[in-house]
Amino acid sequence: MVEKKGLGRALSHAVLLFGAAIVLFPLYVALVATSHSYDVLIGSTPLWFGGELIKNFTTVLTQGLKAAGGIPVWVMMSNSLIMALGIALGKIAISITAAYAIVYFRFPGRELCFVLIFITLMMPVEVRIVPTFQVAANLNFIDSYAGLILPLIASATATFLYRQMFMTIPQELLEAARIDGAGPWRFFVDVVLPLSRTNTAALFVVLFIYGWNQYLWPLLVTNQESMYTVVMGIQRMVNIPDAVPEWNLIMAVALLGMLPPLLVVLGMQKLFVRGLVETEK
Amino acid sequence: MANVRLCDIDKTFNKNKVLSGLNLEVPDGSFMVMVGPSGCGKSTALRCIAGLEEVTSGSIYIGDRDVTHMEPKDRNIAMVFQNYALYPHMNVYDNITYGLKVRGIPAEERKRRAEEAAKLLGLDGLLTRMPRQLSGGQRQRVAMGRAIVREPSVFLFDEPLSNLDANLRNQMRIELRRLHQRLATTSIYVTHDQVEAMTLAEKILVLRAGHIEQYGTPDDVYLRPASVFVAQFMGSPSMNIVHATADGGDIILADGTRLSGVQAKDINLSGRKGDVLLGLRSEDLLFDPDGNIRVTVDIVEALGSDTLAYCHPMGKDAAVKKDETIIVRLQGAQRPASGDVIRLTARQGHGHVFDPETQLRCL
Repeated sequence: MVEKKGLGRALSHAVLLFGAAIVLFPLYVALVATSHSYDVLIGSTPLWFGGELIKNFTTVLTQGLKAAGGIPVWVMMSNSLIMALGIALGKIAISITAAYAIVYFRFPGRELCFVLIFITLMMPVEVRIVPTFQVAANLNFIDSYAGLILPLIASATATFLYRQMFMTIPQELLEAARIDGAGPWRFFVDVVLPLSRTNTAALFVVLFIYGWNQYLWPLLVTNQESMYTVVMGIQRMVNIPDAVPEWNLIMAVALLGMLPPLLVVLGMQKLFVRGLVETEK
Repeated sequence: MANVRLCDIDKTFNKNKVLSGLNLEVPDGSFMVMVGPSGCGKSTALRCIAGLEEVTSGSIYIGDRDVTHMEPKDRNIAMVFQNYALYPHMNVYDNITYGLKVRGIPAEERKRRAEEAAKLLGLDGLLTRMPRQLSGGQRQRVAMGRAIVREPSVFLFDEPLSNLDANLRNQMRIELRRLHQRLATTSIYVTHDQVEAMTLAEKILVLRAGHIEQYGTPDDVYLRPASVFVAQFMGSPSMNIVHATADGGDIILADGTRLSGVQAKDINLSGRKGDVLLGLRSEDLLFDPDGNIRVTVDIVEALGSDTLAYCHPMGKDAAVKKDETIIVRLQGAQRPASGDVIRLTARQGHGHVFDPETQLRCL
């Protein structure tokens, strides 16, 4: 990378700061809105902080919005967390084993299996949402964590990524392990899993955010407020019949809803970047 | 400790016959080197012995056990790979002891064996390093350590030195030799490098297109090559082969020069008449002002200790093939110039005679 000096350097920083400001401005507005009482926000958008920040956050965390059912936000957040973790870990567990089977075992229909998995990439959740809902309803999955997690748990993308990664593991490693006496299971646990550590971390970040941000499916599969997730919960708070939206509280919920994905990204940043660029072989 | 026997081994990959009718026995405790040009099937043969490839037909015995259909782990073998195949996420100690751990050998025993192997291979201070922190030679040693601690009945080596630079390769070759003298475990070693084969082997197996060209001691292979192929493959530069005619006990070169008594002692030409191929190694052609073989020097390669002269045969016979090149090894001081005509004598009793039809050694 070429290091810029003098004017060029100042200019690059200016562009960078400008870009950052554009990205951060909505967050700033949300934070400011959270710090006012709800009547200040009717018909105006204040640009400086008021004095109600702590109070609004405590309100949403402990009581929630009365008009929207009064579910405390921490319940929604824990629902979201369970769903996001379930989806991310489930997807990883299923795709890593599927990819292992496809790469390392010779069985009839192996290619067919891979093609079938790959084809599902072309079918987003939205396309199959009605039949999926039917199945979930028949299985009594409505208003349950299983209903939130299981229909989203298969991942062709992750399977594909793992398959490509496994194919870069040298064949000799497998042969050395066979001579050392390691069976398929030991090879998986002792060699394949540790070698895919960084890839798994990167995938986890991506999949956690994917799970956390699910909107349409939780909207369909949950009826009780106690099973709401944050991302869809916000929408319910905005659309309350015959009431003015309490923007100060809604913005507080939005900010809280952003927090866990942010923490995951920050916490796993190092591994995440390594997983995207490095091949540890 | 065990001998290894291959009986009628055939191996076919999608109708391509890679090995055909391999029959051989590697004696207990010996060091056998399989050598041949790339694609001759030597690595496949090794992998069949290891159990990484199924043989198409035939059987393999290690000691008294028929291992033909056994898994690699049950054959009591250890293998060293060309690219070492160390587990990149395990340190040296874990790499060396992984096979023992899988087999459920207690931690104390593992530690004892690993330390013993480390001492033997000079890896003492490196046990906690990761493979990526090691040099090529050190990785090679770790790979060997992994094989040694298993205390197998057979070591298999698949071109283990070919990723090292020339100096290190010589050094490791000597270490391997020393190791074998100490452990005396039956070893099968694959290489395409004939110097490695000559220096390491107690027995050499020369393979060509999936069948055995010759199987014998290094001296057998070098001094009594069974075919033109073996004669030219072993030794550097490769053996000079010229067309000649046999006449009673003598050999007449294409230019009419009559040579008597050049052929090796095991070759009996009396009674044979007609075309033959005469093989002479570069060091068996001597610079001699009174010699009866006349050649024109084409290119001279000075190697320091000696000089290689690439020459064309010449003589009154115009039928002498222009493209027939004869390589002569001269002492360091003798440096003919390109275009010179020099005279040579062939060392008595060092010529090899082959049948031009079958390419096999005449006996």
